[in-house]
Amino acid sequence: MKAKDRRLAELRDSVPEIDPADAVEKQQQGAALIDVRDPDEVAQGSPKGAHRLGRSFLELRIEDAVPDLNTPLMVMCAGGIRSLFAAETLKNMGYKNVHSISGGFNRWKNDGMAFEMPRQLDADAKERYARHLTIKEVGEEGQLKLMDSKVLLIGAGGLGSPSAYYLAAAGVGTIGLVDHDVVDRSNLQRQILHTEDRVGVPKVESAKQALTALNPNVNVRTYQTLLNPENVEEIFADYDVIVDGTDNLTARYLINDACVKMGLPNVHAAVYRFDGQITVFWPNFSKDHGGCYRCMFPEPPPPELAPSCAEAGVLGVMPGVFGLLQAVETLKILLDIGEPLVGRQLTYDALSGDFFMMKTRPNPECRWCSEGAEFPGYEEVAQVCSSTPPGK
Amino acid sequence: MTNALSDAQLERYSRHILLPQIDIAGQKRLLNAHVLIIGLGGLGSPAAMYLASSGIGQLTLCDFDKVEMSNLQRQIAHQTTDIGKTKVKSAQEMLLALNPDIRINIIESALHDNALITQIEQADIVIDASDNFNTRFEINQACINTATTLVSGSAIRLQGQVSVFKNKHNSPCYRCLYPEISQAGSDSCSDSGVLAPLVGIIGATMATETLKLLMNIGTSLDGRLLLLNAETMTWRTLLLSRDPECPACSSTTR
Repeated sequence: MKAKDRRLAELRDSVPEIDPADAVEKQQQGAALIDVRDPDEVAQGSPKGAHRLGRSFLELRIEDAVPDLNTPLMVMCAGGIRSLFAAETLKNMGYKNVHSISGGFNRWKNDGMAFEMPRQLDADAKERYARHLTIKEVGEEGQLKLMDSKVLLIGAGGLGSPSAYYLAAAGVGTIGLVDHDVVDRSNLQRQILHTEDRVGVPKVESAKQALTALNPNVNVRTYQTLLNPENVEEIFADYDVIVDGTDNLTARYLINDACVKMGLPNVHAAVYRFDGQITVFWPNFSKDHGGCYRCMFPEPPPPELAPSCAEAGVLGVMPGVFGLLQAVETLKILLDIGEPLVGRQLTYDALSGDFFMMKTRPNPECRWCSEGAEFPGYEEVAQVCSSTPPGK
Repeated sequence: MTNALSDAQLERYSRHILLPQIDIAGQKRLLNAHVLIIGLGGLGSPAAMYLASSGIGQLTLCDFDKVEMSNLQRQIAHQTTDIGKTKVKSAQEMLLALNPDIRINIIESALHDNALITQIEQADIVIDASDNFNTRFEINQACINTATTLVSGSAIRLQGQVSVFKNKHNSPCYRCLYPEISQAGSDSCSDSGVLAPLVGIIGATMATETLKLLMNIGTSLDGRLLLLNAETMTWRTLLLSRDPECPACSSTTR
């Protein structure tokens, strides 16, 4: 008797086997199906709802997929041999109820059990996004989700530059950019999407060049326009997340109102001099949402408290930090991981180097987002600014 | 030395000059500064890009590596057509495109011993954007020996951290925090990924600290470690103190 056969006989004695039809029934009752085949085998078909963990990283990944050691496991390979070895490993790790699926996927198919052809990343994408594929928060499934996602950035300036760069790098499938402006030399101190030789070029065009050069797989859509109540819903309709990187109150109120009406998450940030703040306005998120922009600022500030009409100074890297924080929050929302900044606002005082978190609460009287409120229509907020020059 | 700012510089840096804490004097300080950036990957890309756009007069970039496809998920100083180029060459092109007003020196090899000391002595601040503890320990020791300020950061998965080590007076050094490599922890290959913008946040925060130090404004992170958990987006501050037994800095009198 060969060593291999002796070993298999031992495994058959210690690992119970289960027929495909019984496995289907057990899966419906809550057992986890673990497909340990290689990716090229899985591409030919795999049972629905299976955890496709492969064999080589099985021990490292199983607990993320099935945290409870009491959950019954059913291990599948192609013919029912490799699954015996894998099942024994899982038993040794402490899983209390482990079966090997008899005859593997070949028998599964022959017995007429249902399966699907899982979508997979191609070789190029596997290489490009390798550092996402190795973390449980993204993985192949998460990366495919990002590639199917659509994010709209309002403003391709200080905040939009790093957001757009990193969302493109991360592999978000479609990035929309709204900005009516052209690149000015005074932008280049902080707007890293744009370059000296693109001064005078529309910002959305300049941004598209930069993003496509970094990641040609991203579909960049450009809207060289100002948002207004007539175009906002048509533009927003196709996106999953809206990122507010604007610098004026008229746009901020309009973005808020449209997001509330359409149920879209609004990833909101603002920077001023050496400070900044970020939160996510998303009344649809849960019952404990933190309200909307109008809950926080029901009315625009009086002119004497508003920022100066003259351009305000800002430390170049401040919009960098906040645009990046917006990119992280956007990815968390798209991937449904962690806790987004809904109901919380993060502020950063760069001079002291301190971050603060505070809770935000919905205004129960808010005409836009309170429960049962009927959309009051777009109320344009005029641009408010102070004629006092910035203090020097 | 830059004396008067040109019209083009006044325009380019106008948003800095409008800030009373910076003004023309602060911008001149930046234009006369020299920063050494070691590592042009995930942390070095955003740090270098923001320092370049802010108008740091001279940046020296050091990295022996070449651009690979798997870098582009987070290393935004490089483009798809740069694959195969040295990272410092690729980054130099990007930085000069952002700001042709500054000087970018490149070193396409790893720096050790005297060569490392020589480069550090020419810089006002060193940014450690490397990705391994041997390099980090070497840079730390060289910064201690030359009493040079070190800006340090790292990121993995959804976590990041950033600090400043002035290496003067009684402030702690990087190794007071991590005496041995084993204590610094080394993650297995299957865990070593990172969410793309995490390295960006940390790199940009490193640039912020560098700008504060160069202009001598605000309070630097010397003696403090900022820790980010991006799952909840919470930042914590740890106070660091000098370790009297530190293998790197305890024998140095400051």
